[in-house]
Amino acid sequence: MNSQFKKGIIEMCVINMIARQNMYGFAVIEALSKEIEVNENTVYPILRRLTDQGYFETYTETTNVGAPRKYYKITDEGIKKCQEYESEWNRFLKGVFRILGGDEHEK
Amino acid sequence: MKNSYLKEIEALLRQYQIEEAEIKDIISDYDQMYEDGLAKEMTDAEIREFLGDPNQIVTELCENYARKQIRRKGHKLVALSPFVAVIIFFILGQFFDKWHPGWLVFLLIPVTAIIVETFAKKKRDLVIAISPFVAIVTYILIGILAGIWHPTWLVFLVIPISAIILGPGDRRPLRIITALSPFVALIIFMILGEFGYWHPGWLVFLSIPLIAILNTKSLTRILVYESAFLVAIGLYLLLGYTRDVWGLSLLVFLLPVAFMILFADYVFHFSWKSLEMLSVILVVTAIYILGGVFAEAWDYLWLVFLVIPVYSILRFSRGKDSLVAISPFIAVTIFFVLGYFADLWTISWLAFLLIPITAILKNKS
Repeated sequence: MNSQFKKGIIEMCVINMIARQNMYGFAVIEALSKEIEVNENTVYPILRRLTDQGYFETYTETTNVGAPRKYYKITDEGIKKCQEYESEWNRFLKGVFRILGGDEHEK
Repeated sequence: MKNSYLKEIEALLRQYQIEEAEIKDIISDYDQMYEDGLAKEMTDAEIREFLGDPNQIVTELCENYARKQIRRKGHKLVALSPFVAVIIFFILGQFFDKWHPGWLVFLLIPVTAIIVETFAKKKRDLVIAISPFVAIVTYILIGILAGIWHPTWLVFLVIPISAIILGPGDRRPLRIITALSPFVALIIFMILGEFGYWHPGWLVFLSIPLIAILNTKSLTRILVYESAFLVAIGLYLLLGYTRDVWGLSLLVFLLPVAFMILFADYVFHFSWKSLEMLSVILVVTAIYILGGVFAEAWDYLWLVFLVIPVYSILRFSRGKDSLVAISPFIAVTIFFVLGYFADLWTISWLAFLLIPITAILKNKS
Protein backbone atom coordinates (compact mmCIF):
# COMPACT_ATOMS: atom_id res chain seq x y z
CA MET A 1 0.00 0.00 0.00
CA ASN A 2 1.11 3.54 -0.68
CA SER A 3 3.05 4.49 2.44
CA GLN A 4 1.83 8.09 2.53
CA PHE A 5 -1.74 6.84 2.43
CA LYS A 6 -1.05 4.27 5.11
CA LYS A 7 0.58 6.84 7.32
CA GLY A 8 -2.56 8.93 7.12
CA ILE A 9 -4.69 5.99 8.18
CA ILE A 10 -2.36 5.12 11.04
CA GLU A 11 -2.51 8.72 12.17
CA MET A 12 -6.29 8.49 12.23
CA CYS A 13 -6.15 5.25 14.22
CA VAL A 14 -3.72 6.74 16.72
CA ILE A 15 -5.87 9.81 17.32
CA ASN A 16 -8.92 7.59 17.69
CA MET A 17 -7.24 5.28 20.19
CA ILE A 18 -6.03 8.14 22.35
CA ALA A 19 -9.50 9.71 22.19
CA ARG A 20 -10.90 6.54 23.78
CA GLN A 21 -8.33 6.18 26.50
CA ASN A 22 -5.03 7.61 27.64
CA MET A 23 -2.15 5.47 26.53
CA TYR A 24 1.64 5.33 26.66
CA GLY A 25 3.89 4.98 23.62
CA PHE A 26 4.73 1.31 23.86
CA ALA A 27 1.09 0.34 24.31
CA VAL A 28 0.08 2.37 21.26
CA ILE A 29 2.57 0.58 19.03
CA GLU A 30 1.58 -2.76 20.53
CA ALA A 31 -2.14 -2.24 20.06
CA LEU A 32 -1.72 -1.00 16.51
CA SER A 33 0.59 -3.75 15.37
CA LYS A 34 -1.78 -6.34 16.77
CA GLU A 35 -4.52 -5.22 14.39
CA ILE A 36 -2.79 -3.91 11.31
CA GLU A 37 0.56 -4.21 9.70
CA VAL A 38 2.27 -1.01 10.75
CA ASN A 39 5.70 0.26 10.14
CA GLU A 40 6.76 0.67 13.77
CA ASN A 41 9.11 3.51 12.93
CA THR A 42 6.24 5.75 12.05
CA VAL A 43 4.13 5.40 15.17
CA TYR A 44 6.23 7.35 17.62
CA PRO A 45 6.89 10.18 15.17
CA ILE A 46 3.14 10.40 14.61
CA LEU A 47 2.46 10.57 18.36
CA ARG A 48 5.04 13.27 18.65
CA ARG A 49 3.73 15.30 15.76
CA LEU A 50 0.15 15.13 16.96
CA THR A 51 1.32 16.31 20.37
CA ASP A 52 3.19 19.18 18.73
CA GLN A 53 0.10 20.14 16.80
CA GLY A 54 -1.83 20.37 20.04
CA TYR A 55 -4.08 17.34 19.58
CA PHE A 56 -2.52 15.50 22.51
CA GLU A 57 -1.23 16.48 25.92
CA THR A 58 1.28 14.42 27.82
CA TYR A 59 1.67 13.67 31.48
CA THR A 60 3.90 11.28 33.34
CA GLU A 61 2.74 8.64 35.71
CA THR A 62 4.88 6.39 37.83
CA THR A 63 4.21 2.73 37.22
CA ASN A 64 4.27 -0.01 39.80
CA VAL A 65 7.68 -1.04 38.46
CA GLY A 66 8.90 2.40 39.44
CA ALA A 67 9.82 3.81 36.05
CA PRO A 68 7.84 6.88 34.99
CA ARG A 69 5.83 6.64 31.79
CA LYS A 70 4.70 9.31 29.43
CA TYR A 71 0.98 9.09 28.72
CA TYR A 72 -0.82 10.72 25.84
CA LYS A 73 -4.17 12.32 26.45
CA ILE A 74 -6.53 13.84 23.89
CA THR A 75 -7.22 17.59 23.95
CA ASP A 76 -10.41 19.39 22.89
CA GLU A 77 -8.74 20.23 19.65
CA GLY A 78 -7.81 16.58 19.29
CA ILE A 79 -11.41 15.50 19.73
CA LYS A 80 -12.47 17.91 17.02
CA LYS A 81 -9.77 16.57 14.73
CA CYS A 82 -10.78 13.02 15.51
CA GLN A 83 -14.41 13.69 14.53
CA GLU A 84 -13.28 15.47 11.43
CA TYR A 85 -11.17 12.48 10.47
CA GLU A 86 -14.00 10.08 11.12
CA SER A 87 -16.55 11.81 8.94
CA GLU A 88 -13.95 12.35 6.25
CA TRP A 89 -13.07 8.67 6.42
CA ASN A 90 -16.68 7.52 6.26
CA ARG A 91 -17.38 9.66 3.26
CA PHE A 92 -14.21 8.38 1.63
CA LEU A 93 -15.05 4.73 2.31
CA LYS A 94 -18.59 5.10 0.99
CA GLY A 95 -17.21 6.57 -2.19
CA VAL A 96 -14.70 3.76 -2.49
CA PHE A 97 -17.35 1.10 -1.99
CA ARG A 98 -19.62 2.72 -4.55
CA ILE A 99 -16.78 2.69 -7.05
CA LEU A 100 -16.02 -0.92 -6.30
CA GLY A 101 -19.70 -1.64 -6.86
CA GLY A 102 -20.46 -3.05 -3.41
CA ASP A 103 -23.66 -1.21 -2.46
CA GLU A 104 -24.33 -3.80 0.22
CA HIS A 105 -21.50 -2.32 2.28
CA GLU A 106 -23.50 0.85 2.84
CA LYS A 107 -25.21 1.18 6.13
CA MET B 1 22.06 -2.91 24.10
CA LYS B 2 19.58 -0.29 25.23
CA ASN B 3 22.36 2.22 25.52
CA SER B 4 23.71 1.56 22.07
CA TYR B 5 20.22 1.84 20.59
CA LEU B 6 19.60 5.17 22.29
CA LYS B 7 23.07 6.42 21.43
CA GLU B 8 22.45 5.58 17.80
CA ILE B 9 19.23 7.58 17.74
CA GLU B 10 20.86 10.46 19.54
CA ALA B 11 23.81 10.62 17.18
CA LEU B 12 21.47 10.67 14.19
CA LEU B 13 19.30 13.36 15.73
CA ARG B 14 22.33 15.53 16.33
CA GLN B 15 22.86 15.77 12.60
CA TYR B 16 19.84 17.98 12.52
CA GLN B 17 19.47 21.28 14.23
CA ILE B 18 17.04 20.20 16.84
CA GLU B 19 16.93 21.85 20.21
CA GLU B 20 18.76 20.05 22.96
CA ALA B 21 15.63 19.74 25.09
CA GLU B 22 13.81 18.05 22.25
CA ILE B 23 16.57 15.51 21.71
CA LYS B 24 16.53 14.72 25.44
CA ASP B 25 12.78 14.32 25.33
CA ILE B 26 12.87 11.94 22.37
CA ILE B 27 15.66 9.89 23.93
CA SER B 28 13.83 9.62 27.23
CA ASP B 29 10.67 8.50 25.39
CA TYR B 30 12.61 5.77 23.63
CA ASP B 31 14.28 4.88 26.91
CA GLN B 32 10.84 4.31 28.46
CA MET B 33 9.55 2.34 25.51
CA TYR B 34 12.68 0.20 25.58
CA GLU B 35 12.15 -0.43 29.29
CA ASP B 36 8.54 -1.39 28.56
CA GLY B 37 9.84 -3.89 26.05
CA LEU B 38 12.32 -5.33 28.54
CA ALA B 39 9.58 -5.58 31.14
CA LYS B 40 7.64 -7.71 28.66
CA GLU B 41 10.67 -9.97 28.44
CA MET B 42 11.38 -9.13 24.86
CA THR B 43 14.93 -9.65 23.63
CA ASP B 44 17.01 -6.71 22.46
CA ALA B 45 16.58 -7.78 18.86
CA GLU B 46 12.81 -7.98 19.27
CA ILE B 47 12.64 -4.57 20.87
CA ARG B 48 14.75 -3.13 18.13
CA GLU B 49 12.38 -4.52 15.56
CA PHE B 50 9.37 -3.40 17.56
CA LEU B 51 10.53 0.18 18.02
CA GLY B 52 12.12 0.47 14.62
CA ASP B 53 15.42 1.14 12.97
CA PRO B 54 17.13 4.31 14.28
CA ASN B 55 17.88 5.55 10.79
CA GLN B 56 14.27 5.37 9.73
CA ILE B 57 12.98 6.74 13.01
CA VAL B 58 15.13 9.81 12.75
CA THR B 59 14.36 10.34 9.07
CA GLU B 60 10.70 10.10 9.96
CA LEU B 61 10.98 12.43 12.94
CA CYS B 62 12.99 15.03 11.15
CA GLU B 63 10.85 14.90 8.04
CA ASN B 64 7.95 15.92 10.21
CA TYR B 65 9.85 18.78 11.74
CA ALA B 66 11.61 19.76 8.59
CA ARG B 67 9.63 22.87 7.83
CA LYS B 68 9.82 24.18 11.34
CA GLN B 69 13.31 23.84 12.57
CA ILE B 70 15.58 21.68 10.61
CA ARG B 71 18.36 22.96 8.50
CA ARG B 72 21.11 20.54 8.02
CA LYS B 73 24.52 21.62 9.07
CA GLY B 74 26.84 22.38 6.23
CA HIS B 75 24.29 23.80 3.84
CA LYS B 76 26.04 27.12 4.15
CA LEU B 77 29.23 25.39 3.22
CA VAL B 78 27.65 24.01 0.06
CA ALA B 79 26.25 27.39 -0.83
CA LEU B 80 29.62 29.04 -0.33
CA SER B 81 31.67 26.47 -2.19
CA PRO B 82 31.18 27.96 -5.69
CA PHE B 83 32.46 31.33 -4.52
CA VAL B 84 35.40 29.86 -2.71
CA ALA B 85 36.23 27.82 -5.81
CA VAL B 86 36.07 30.89 -8.09
CA ILE B 87 38.31 32.86 -5.76
CA ILE B 88 40.91 30.11 -5.52
CA PHE B 89 40.70 29.58 -9.27
CA PHE B 90 41.47 33.22 -10.00
CA ILE B 91 44.23 33.41 -7.45
CA LEU B 92 45.90 30.35 -8.92
CA GLY B 93 45.42 31.72 -12.43
CA GLN B 94 46.36 35.36 -11.93
CA PHE B 95 49.25 35.01 -9.57
CA PHE B 96 50.67 31.64 -10.40
CA ASP B 97 49.50 31.29 -13.99
CA LYS B 98 48.10 27.86 -13.12
CA TRP B 99 44.80 28.22 -14.96
CA HIS B 100 45.19 24.76 -16.28
CA PRO B 101 45.32 22.34 -13.44
CA GLY B 102 43.83 25.17 -11.36
CA TRP B 103 40.32 24.55 -12.67
CA LEU B 104 40.39 21.37 -10.61
CA VAL B 105 39.30 23.49 -7.64
CA PHE B 106 35.86 23.59 -9.20
CA LEU B 107 35.56 19.96 -8.26
CA LEU B 108 35.31 21.33 -4.71
CA ILE B 109 31.72 22.27 -5.47
CA PRO B 110 30.30 18.79 -6.08
CA VAL B 111 32.69 17.27 -3.56
CA THR B 112 31.47 19.60 -0.82
CA ALA B 113 27.88 18.87 -1.74
CA ILE B 114 28.48 15.14 -1.68
CA ILE B 115 30.31 15.25 1.63
CA VAL B 116 27.60 17.30 3.27
CA GLU B 117 24.76 15.27 1.75
CA THR B 118 26.06 11.80 2.42
CA PHE B 119 27.93 12.46 5.63
CA ALA B 120 24.65 12.99 7.38
CA LYS B 121 23.35 9.66 6.14
CA LYS B 122 25.79 6.88 5.53
CA LYS B 123 29.49 7.27 5.75
CA ARG B 124 30.21 4.32 3.53
CA ASP B 125 28.32 5.89 0.63
CA LEU B 126 30.57 8.89 1.02
CA VAL B 127 33.67 6.98 -0.01
CA ILE B 128 31.95 5.55 -3.06
CA ALA B 129 30.64 8.92 -4.14
CA ILE B 130 33.96 10.64 -3.59
CA SER B 131 36.08 7.98 -5.27
CA PRO B 132 35.62 9.29 -8.85
CA PHE B 133 36.89 12.70 -7.79
CA VAL B 134 39.85 11.38 -5.88
CA ALA B 135 40.73 9.26 -8.90
CA ILE B 136 40.41 12.12 -11.38
CA VAL B 137 42.36 14.59 -9.31
CA THR B 138 45.15 12.08 -8.73
CA TYR B 139 45.17 11.08 -12.39
CA ILE B 140 45.31 14.62 -13.74
CA LEU B 141 47.77 15.94 -11.17
CA ILE B 142 50.23 13.09 -11.62
CA GLY B 143 49.68 13.27 -15.37
CA ILE B 144 50.32 16.99 -15.65
CA LEU B 145 52.93 17.45 -12.99
CA ALA B 146 54.99 14.33 -13.58
CA GLY B 147 53.92 13.49 -17.11
CA ILE B 148 53.15 9.92 -16.07
CA TRP B 149 49.77 9.22 -17.62
CA HIS B 150 50.32 5.60 -18.37
CA PRO B 151 50.28 3.50 -15.24
CA THR B 152 48.54 6.34 -13.39
CA TRP B 153 45.20 5.42 -14.94
CA LEU B 154 45.25 2.48 -12.54
CA VAL B 155 43.94 4.87 -9.86
CA PHE B 156 40.58 4.70 -11.58
CA LEU B 157 40.32 1.18 -10.27
CA VAL B 158 39.66 2.87 -6.94
CA ILE B 159 36.13 3.53 -8.20
CA PRO B 160 34.94 -0.04 -8.75
CA ILE B 161 37.02 -1.30 -5.84
CA SER B 162 35.46 1.06 -3.34
CA ALA B 163 32.04 0.34 -4.78
CA ILE B 164 32.60 -3.38 -4.31
CA ILE B 165 34.03 -3.16 -0.82
CA LEU B 166 31.55 -0.64 0.50
CA GLY B 167 28.59 -0.84 -1.82
CA PRO B 168 25.32 -2.70 -1.47
CA GLY B 169 25.31 -6.44 -1.97
CA ASP B 170 26.79 -9.51 -0.44
CA ARG B 171 28.99 -8.60 2.49
CA ARG B 172 30.75 -11.90 3.16
CA PRO B 173 34.54 -11.64 2.87
CA LEU B 174 34.88 -14.39 0.28
CA ARG B 175 32.33 -12.72 -2.00
CA ILE B 176 34.14 -9.43 -1.71
CA ILE B 177 37.48 -11.06 -2.48
CA THR B 178 35.89 -12.77 -5.48
CA ALA B 179 34.53 -9.51 -6.77
CA LEU B 180 37.82 -7.76 -6.23
CA SER B 181 39.96 -10.43 -7.84
CA PRO B 182 39.67 -9.08 -11.41
CA PHE B 183 41.08 -5.75 -10.33
CA VAL B 184 43.85 -7.18 -8.25
CA ALA B 185 44.71 -9.46 -11.16
CA LEU B 186 44.71 -6.50 -13.53
CA ILE B 187 47.05 -4.52 -11.31
CA ILE B 188 49.44 -7.44 -10.91
CA PHE B 189 49.23 -8.03 -14.66
CA MET B 190 50.15 -4.40 -15.39
CA ILE B 191 53.08 -4.54 -12.97
CA LEU B 192 54.35 -7.80 -14.47
CA GLY B 193 53.84 -6.29 -17.90
CA GLU B 194 55.93 -3.25 -17.04
CA PHE B 195 58.79 -5.63 -16.34
CA GLY B 196 58.24 -7.27 -19.69
CA TYR B 197 56.41 -10.36 -18.50
CA TRP B 198 53.18 -9.77 -20.39
CA HIS B 199 53.27 -13.29 -21.64
CA PRO B 200 53.20 -15.69 -18.77
CA GLY B 201 51.97 -12.72 -16.73
CA TRP B 202 48.43 -12.99 -18.07
CA LEU B 203 48.14 -16.21 -16.09
CA VAL B 204 47.36 -14.09 -13.02
CA PHE B 205 43.89 -13.69 -14.50
CA LEU B 206 43.39 -17.36 -13.80
CA SER B 207 43.35 -16.42 -10.13
CA ILE B 208 39.85 -15.07 -10.85
CA PRO B 209 38.25 -18.47 -11.48
CA LEU B 210 40.52 -20.02 -8.85
CA ILE B 211 39.08 -17.69 -6.24
CA ALA B 212 35.55 -17.85 -7.63
CA ILE B 213 35.62 -21.61 -7.26
CA LEU B 214 36.08 -21.24 -3.51
CA ASN B 215 32.48 -20.03 -3.41
CA THR B 216 31.39 -23.53 -4.21
CA LYS B 217 29.86 -25.23 -1.23
CA SER B 218 31.15 -28.75 -1.57
CA LEU B 219 34.72 -29.34 -0.51
CA THR B 220 35.32 -32.18 -2.96
CA ARG B 221 34.29 -29.96 -5.82
CA ILE B 222 36.60 -27.22 -4.69
CA LEU B 223 39.45 -29.73 -4.58
CA VAL B 224 38.59 -31.19 -7.98
CA TYR B 225 38.28 -27.83 -9.71
CA GLU B 226 41.27 -26.29 -8.07
CA SER B 227 43.54 -29.22 -8.80
CA ALA B 228 42.25 -29.37 -12.39
CA PHE B 229 43.18 -25.73 -12.80
CA LEU B 230 46.56 -26.09 -11.18
CA VAL B 231 47.38 -29.16 -13.25
CA ALA B 232 46.32 -27.27 -16.37
CA ILE B 233 48.49 -24.29 -15.49
CA GLY B 234 51.41 -26.58 -14.75
CA LEU B 235 51.00 -28.50 -17.98
CA TYR B 236 50.61 -25.30 -19.95
CA LEU B 237 53.84 -23.85 -18.61
CA LEU B 238 55.66 -27.15 -18.99
CA LEU B 239 54.57 -27.64 -22.58
CA GLY B 240 55.15 -24.00 -23.36
CA TYR B 241 58.67 -23.82 -22.01
CA THR B 242 59.92 -27.25 -23.03
CA ARG B 243 58.28 -27.68 -26.42
CA ASP B 244 57.59 -24.00 -27.20
CA VAL B 245 54.05 -24.82 -28.30
CA TRP B 246 52.33 -21.98 -26.42
CA GLY B 247 49.37 -21.71 -28.73
CA LEU B 248 48.60 -25.36 -28.86
CA SER B 249 49.17 -25.96 -25.17
CA LEU B 250 46.32 -23.53 -24.40
CA LEU B 251 44.15 -26.55 -25.07
CA VAL B 252 45.05 -28.00 -21.65
CA PHE B 253 42.70 -25.45 -20.15
CA LEU B 254 39.89 -27.48 -21.61
CA LEU B 255 40.55 -29.84 -18.71
CA PRO B 256 39.18 -27.67 -15.91
CA VAL B 257 36.49 -26.36 -18.23
CA ALA B 258 35.42 -29.92 -18.92
CA PHE B 259 35.27 -30.64 -15.19
CA MET B 260 33.11 -27.61 -14.67
CA ILE B 261 30.70 -28.58 -17.39
CA LEU B 262 30.60 -32.06 -15.93
CA PHE B 263 29.55 -30.65 -12.58
CA ALA B 264 27.74 -27.79 -14.24
CA ASP B 265 25.49 -27.20 -11.28
CA TYR B 266 28.21 -25.26 -9.47
CA VAL B 267 26.71 -22.09 -10.88
CA PHE B 268 23.60 -22.48 -8.82
CA HIS B 269 25.42 -22.26 -5.53
CA PHE B 270 25.89 -18.59 -6.09
CA SER B 271 23.15 -16.27 -5.11
CA TRP B 272 21.75 -14.74 -8.27
CA LYS B 273 22.68 -11.33 -7.05
CA SER B 274 26.36 -11.99 -6.67
CA LEU B 275 26.43 -14.08 -9.82
CA GLU B 276 24.88 -11.20 -11.67
CA MET B 277 27.37 -8.71 -10.29
CA LEU B 278 30.24 -11.07 -10.94
CA SER B 279 29.25 -11.43 -14.58
CA VAL B 280 28.90 -7.68 -14.97
CA ILE B 281 32.36 -7.28 -13.47
CA LEU B 282 33.85 -9.95 -15.71
CA VAL B 283 32.25 -8.55 -18.86
CA VAL B 284 33.43 -5.05 -18.03
CA THR B 285 36.94 -6.25 -17.24
CA ALA B 286 37.00 -8.23 -20.45
CA ILE B 287 35.93 -5.20 -22.49
CA TYR B 288 38.57 -3.15 -20.78
CA ILE B 289 41.38 -5.62 -21.31
CA LEU B 290 40.43 -6.37 -24.91
CA GLY B 291 40.06 -2.68 -25.68
CA GLY B 292 43.34 -1.94 -23.97
CA VAL B 293 45.33 -4.67 -25.66
CA PHE B 294 43.87 -4.33 -29.14
CA ALA B 295 43.03 -0.66 -29.36
CA GLU B 296 45.53 0.75 -26.85
CA ALA B 297 42.53 2.36 -25.20
CA TRP B 298 43.78 2.10 -21.58
CA ASP B 299 43.52 5.86 -21.16
CA TYR B 300 39.81 6.20 -21.58
CA LEU B 301 38.30 2.74 -21.51
CA TRP B 302 38.45 2.72 -17.70
CA LEU B 303 35.14 4.55 -18.03
CA VAL B 304 33.51 1.16 -18.54
CA PHE B 305 34.29 0.38 -14.91
CA LEU B 306 31.77 3.02 -13.94
CA VAL B 307 29.18 0.60 -15.21
CA ILE B 308 29.80 -1.57 -12.13
CA PRO B 309 28.71 0.85 -9.40
CA VAL B 310 25.99 2.30 -11.63
CA TYR B 311 24.63 -1.14 -12.36
CA SER B 312 24.63 -2.14 -8.71
CA ILE B 313 22.97 1.11 -7.70
CA LEU B 314 20.24 0.85 -10.32
CA ARG B 315 19.68 -2.81 -9.76
CA PHE B 316 19.87 -3.16 -6.01
CA SER B 317 19.11 0.11 -4.32
CA ARG B 318 15.62 1.31 -4.02
CA GLY B 319 13.83 4.13 -5.74
CA LYS B 320 14.27 7.78 -5.56
CA ASP B 321 17.83 8.18 -4.41
CA SER B 322 19.32 6.13 -7.19
CA LEU B 323 19.37 8.98 -9.67
CA VAL B 324 21.27 11.13 -7.21
CA ALA B 325 23.60 8.25 -6.47
CA ILE B 326 24.51 7.66 -10.09
CA SER B 327 24.83 11.35 -10.99
CA PRO B 328 28.53 11.44 -10.00
CA PHE B 329 29.24 8.65 -12.44
CA ILE B 330 27.32 10.28 -15.25
CA ALA B 331 29.11 13.53 -14.53
CA VAL B 332 32.51 11.82 -14.55
CA THR B 333 31.70 10.26 -17.91
CA ILE B 334 30.59 13.52 -19.51
CA PHE B 335 33.52 15.34 -17.97
CA PHE B 336 36.07 12.84 -19.16
CA VAL B 337 34.63 12.31 -22.65
CA LEU B 338 34.45 16.05 -23.36
CA GLY B 339 37.86 16.62 -21.88
CA TYR B 340 39.69 13.71 -23.40
CA PHE B 341 38.19 13.60 -26.86
CA ALA B 342 37.45 17.28 -27.42
CA ASP B 343 40.17 18.67 -25.15
CA LEU B 344 37.59 20.73 -23.33
CA TRP B 345 38.98 20.10 -19.84
CA THR B 346 38.65 23.76 -18.93
CA ILE B 347 34.88 23.73 -19.32
CA SER B 348 33.92 20.08 -19.10
CA TRP B 349 34.10 20.19 -15.27
CA LEU B 350 30.75 21.97 -15.55
CA ALA B 351 29.34 18.46 -15.91
CA PHE B 352 29.90 18.06 -12.18
CA LEU B 353 27.27 20.67 -11.51
CA LEU B 354 24.87 17.93 -12.55
CA ILE B 355 25.37 16.35 -9.16
CA PRO B 356 24.12 19.14 -6.90
CA ILE B 357 21.46 19.97 -9.50
CA THR B 358 20.10 16.43 -9.46
CA ALA B 359 20.23 16.35 -5.67
CA ILE B 360 18.36 19.64 -5.39
CA LEU B 361 15.71 18.69 -7.95
CA LYS B 362 15.17 15.33 -6.29
CA ASN B 363 14.86 16.86 -2.86
CA LYS B 364 12.14 19.21 -3.97
CA SER B 365 9.93 16.60 -5.54
